[in-house]
Amino acid sequence: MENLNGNMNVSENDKQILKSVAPLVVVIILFFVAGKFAISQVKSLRDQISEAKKTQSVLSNKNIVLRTISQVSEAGSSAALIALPKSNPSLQVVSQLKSLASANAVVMDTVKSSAPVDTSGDLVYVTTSFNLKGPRDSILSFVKSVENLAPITYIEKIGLSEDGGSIEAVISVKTYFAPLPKTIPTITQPITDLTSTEKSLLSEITGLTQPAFTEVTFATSGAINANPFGQ
Amino acid sequence: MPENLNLLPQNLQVSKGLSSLLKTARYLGVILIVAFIIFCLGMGAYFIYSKVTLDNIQTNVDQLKTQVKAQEGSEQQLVLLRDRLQKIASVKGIPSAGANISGINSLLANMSTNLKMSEANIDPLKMVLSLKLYSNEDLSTFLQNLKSTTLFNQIELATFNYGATGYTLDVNLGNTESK
Repeated sequence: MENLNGNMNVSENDKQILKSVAPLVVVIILFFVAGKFAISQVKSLRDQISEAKKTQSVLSNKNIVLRTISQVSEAGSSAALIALPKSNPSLQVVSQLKSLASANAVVMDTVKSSAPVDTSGDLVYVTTSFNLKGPRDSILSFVKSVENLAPITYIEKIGLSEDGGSIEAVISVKTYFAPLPKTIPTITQPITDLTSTEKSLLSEITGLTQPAFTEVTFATSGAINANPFGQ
Repeated sequence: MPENLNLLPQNLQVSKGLSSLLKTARYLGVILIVAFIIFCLGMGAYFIYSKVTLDNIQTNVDQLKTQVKAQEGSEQQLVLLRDRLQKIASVKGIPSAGANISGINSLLANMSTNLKMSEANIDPLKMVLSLKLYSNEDLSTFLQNLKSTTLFNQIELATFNYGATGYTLDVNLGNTESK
């Protein structure tokens, strides 16, 4: 009888405890589980908002820069492409040198152009060598003016010899060109306006003496002329 | 009048201390349930607000992408321009013999026209001059010009001859920091 009474006493206490504590425990567990889930969802959403805001800022800035720079970049890219062409500019260079020789009243002959030579960093150069004859001042004036020509040309070496007041010069110049870039940035990649150094360089190359022509086009004919002598 | 009767035997009733504790636990449970409901409603509202904000920003982003894409031509030209300018800047760093050309004029400044430059070989790093001078004045002027030039930091008078016709000089000029 005593054992039975004791067991019934424990059971009643347990029931009371269970009734009172169980809801508390359940709510705490719910708080923990639901809270963790909710916080993770909200955090993920906040991260997405942050990322979207960054993209919005980049695109907005990019839009403004492209609008303000469109004219400069169009004119500038043309000038830059003439200064550093995408393909072998030997014909333009020879034309420029001949015009310069004529302007300085010197005689130019024995013009030769080399095959393109690759350098490191995507640059390629061709070497053009020629002879000049004329007064010393005219030759020196010619030589000084070479580096103001477009495409950009540098003097590699000069050999001068003077005889009876006239100078004969053997000159070798290098002209560089480079292939066009192959990739453009992705739409969400930021861009910036030209730096002051870039603007200064652009101004400098815009002032170079432009060639008479920038591209060589070949005449196309539909049918082969059976008589090449034109009769 | 109703009366609360506890028909449980005294030895089966819950003790007073425990009873008070359990009452507190029950109140706490109710409070926590209410707090939980408020928490869920709050988080739900915040979630909805954030979603709406995200959707608005995303719409704006899509509009901006369309506008930027419409200016793809300008972007390509800007990329091309930057590429060219970068390469031109590296080309300008390459040594050139042109910088040494101006040296000839400065070396021969204030001299008579009788002098003869029998040979000059110029490259980006050095210049070799062979001169024939026919007067003492020209020689003094030339040596003075050599002394005062800042275009070359290495000067060597390789040969110096004096004959019936005048002076013959071979001068090697070097510039370790050409261009």
